[in-house]
Amino acid sequence: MNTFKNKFDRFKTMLSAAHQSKAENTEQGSPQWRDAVMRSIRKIGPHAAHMDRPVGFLQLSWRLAPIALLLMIILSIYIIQTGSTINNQMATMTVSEPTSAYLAYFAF
Amino acid sequence: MPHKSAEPTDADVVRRVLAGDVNAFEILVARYQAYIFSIVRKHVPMENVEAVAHDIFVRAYRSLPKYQQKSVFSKWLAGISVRACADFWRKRYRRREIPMSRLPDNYREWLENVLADESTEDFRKAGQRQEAKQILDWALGRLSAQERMVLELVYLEGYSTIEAARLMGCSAANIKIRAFRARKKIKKLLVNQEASNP
Repeated sequence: MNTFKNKFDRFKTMLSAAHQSKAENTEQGSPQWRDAVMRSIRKIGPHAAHMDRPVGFLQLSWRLAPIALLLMIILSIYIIQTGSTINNQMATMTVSEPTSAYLAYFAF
Repeated sequence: MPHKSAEPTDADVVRRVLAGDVNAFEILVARYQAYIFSIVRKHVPMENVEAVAHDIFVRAYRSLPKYQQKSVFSKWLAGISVRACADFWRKRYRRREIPMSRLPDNYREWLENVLADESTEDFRKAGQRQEAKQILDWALGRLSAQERMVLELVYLEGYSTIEAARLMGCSAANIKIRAFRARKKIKKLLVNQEASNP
């Protein structure tokens, strides 16, 4: 087992040296390479222009989520304090007995 | 990366680019191109280094609004570089042919001769040889793109698990698992193969 580990450590030393020697090449990008990069960047366009675009629906819905939550809490408190109203009774009826609610709607 | 105080700082340049000055990005390209090439050269074949480095700067430009000014720009860029190298291998592996299951005979003989030597210094010297690079590429070619990158970062370059996780953009636990699997595979490929050789 020891020999096995030792053998792998030898491999590791050799392979690490092989890996590090890959970086010895002095290639760093020519002026032409840099020009090509900047051409690609200019093709994408300025960032400020991207930021002016209207925000997506998903982004907007998440921004509105805290407001919606606050509204739900306020309404819940209001309903608990004021008690049941005609509208609430209608809503309860609709959920429990949809047919009766339909008839009641036309009756009034 | 150090630069003269008269030159604009990275944060200043980033602000200019985000304000719409596209040409200011060239300052960052010039400042970091040597650094990026030094990273990419270790992970990607020579003939693909320029293309991958090009892709890294384009990705960096696109991701610039997400860059947090409190982090060091070079480290942020290094993360993009490592992930771009992993993507390079992922794409390449998708269209690769089925690799040879065994190490070619000429390399195996060379490996046996090198292992017969006792000195650690000799191993380092052997690592500089073309044969060692070929064996390394052969072994790494049998790992997945992610395992390859993790093995290179953790075992061959000596990054800590946390540093490698930051560069790869995943958790330290994930890196530990991948590093363990990659090491096991490499061990099986090289040590066992060498041992099973008559």
